[in-house]
Amino acid sequence: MTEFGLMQLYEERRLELQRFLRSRGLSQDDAEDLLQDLYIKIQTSNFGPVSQPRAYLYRMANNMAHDRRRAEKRRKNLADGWAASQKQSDGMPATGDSAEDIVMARDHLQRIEAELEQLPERTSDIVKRFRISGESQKAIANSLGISLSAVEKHLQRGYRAILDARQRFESEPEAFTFHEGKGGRDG
Amino acid sequence: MVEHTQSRIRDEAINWHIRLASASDEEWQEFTAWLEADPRHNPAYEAVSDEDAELDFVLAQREVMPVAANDDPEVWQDPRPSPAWRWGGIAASLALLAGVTYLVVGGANEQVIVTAPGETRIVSLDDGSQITLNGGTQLVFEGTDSQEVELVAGEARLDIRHDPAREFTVVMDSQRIVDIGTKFNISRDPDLLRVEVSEGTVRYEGFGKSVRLEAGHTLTATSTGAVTSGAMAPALMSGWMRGELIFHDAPLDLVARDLERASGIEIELDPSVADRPFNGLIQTRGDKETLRKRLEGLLALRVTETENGWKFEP
Repeated sequence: MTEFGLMQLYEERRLELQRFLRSRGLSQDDAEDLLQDLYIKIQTSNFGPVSQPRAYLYRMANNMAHDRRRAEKRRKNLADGWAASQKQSDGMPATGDSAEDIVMARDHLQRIEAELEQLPERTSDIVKRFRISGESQKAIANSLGISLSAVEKHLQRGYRAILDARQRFESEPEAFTFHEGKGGRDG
Repeated sequence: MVEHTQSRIRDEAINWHIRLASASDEEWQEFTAWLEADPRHNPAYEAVSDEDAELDFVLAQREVMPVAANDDPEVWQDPRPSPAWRWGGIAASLALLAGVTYLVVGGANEQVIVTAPGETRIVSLDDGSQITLNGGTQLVFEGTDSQEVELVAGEARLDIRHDPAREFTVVMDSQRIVDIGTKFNISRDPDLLRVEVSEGTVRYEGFGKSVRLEAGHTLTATSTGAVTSGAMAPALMSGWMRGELIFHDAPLDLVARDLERASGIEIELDPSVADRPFNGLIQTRGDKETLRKRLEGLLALRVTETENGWKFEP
């Protein structure tokens, strides 16, 4: 797909993308703004073959919406003077600039590993391949000889386990600290 | 009752978050309809997405563990080493953010894949092999089969499925990397080729030399034919995929080029410091301003914003 092809598709799909961004919580003005940026991005990027161009536009818009929201949240947190003083996670990805970040992340990682151990082997294998090794769902499905929706179901189960564990970790990090193979908590 | 509905909404949000990674046009429209159906849906989706994004840093800790444990054993120790986790990192988030391209092999035409600086892309081949492209990269696939690919410029991490019946070759003008089933990283600049092999075996051919590289081996080849091999812990390879660039006595000129590729920020380097060697690890994560300050400290340079990007000067 040429850059020209994507631009043309953008024109055709503009209203639809606007509706999507509104459903993602953006105001009319912000949605307009973002669509402008998306347009510029399409104009200035080099594209190789894009297999699903319409979905690709949606994905770009969706990611840009996430990026904006997170940047805004970070700005707000810094302005409120939170960054230096807060102990709890603000829901923003850690940048790993502090030793404390790293130690907490390692503890968190051990909790995730423990959760994955408790899942059926195939589920845990699929989650690792997708989330850690970055294999596409299709590649995983092909290699295992199962359907894409079967892969999706394994991922749903795995993600639920991992993300729920994260929520519990966030509220009581001390309970999850592992030292020398001894468990800090049941379950 | 409220809690039960919240849990259902969260499950739906998780399901959507996963589906979106490979959703079709119709599915994106269905996603819009789901978001519109209830004002609680979007916040639930955003929460799931943010929680997943946070995992990048957590999962990356798996990679930072050195092969030779010369650090505090209590902190670094892993009681359950698991080979399947040896390679990985932020690649999954790349799958969500970058374009994902499926190549149809067996076609007659050549296919070219190009990424802009700062952009990454994952290419999946029908046989389950996968190639992850860093920014500023151009890869050409020959039409007839998936056995040969040309790396015109840039950097890629290749995960080639083992097939004893065939050799997969990466061509760079007169140099080649031949591989049977391996995980390796190649970066090609006009005057320098760098290869890192994290699993399996490859054969480098160029300048009349043939060098066998195994897991843990690296190779550099300059445009004047100086071919040198070295060693590196596989867990540290393809650092760019984890937002980490590692350099050993690399001239700042090369550091600047790798930073451009990874960040998409155009960098102008003062010629007087181009050859200055740098040793160290540069984290490329975080916002632009954080990165700029970090670079000033690490590289002992002034990094200022210009019209087009950044300028590095003493």
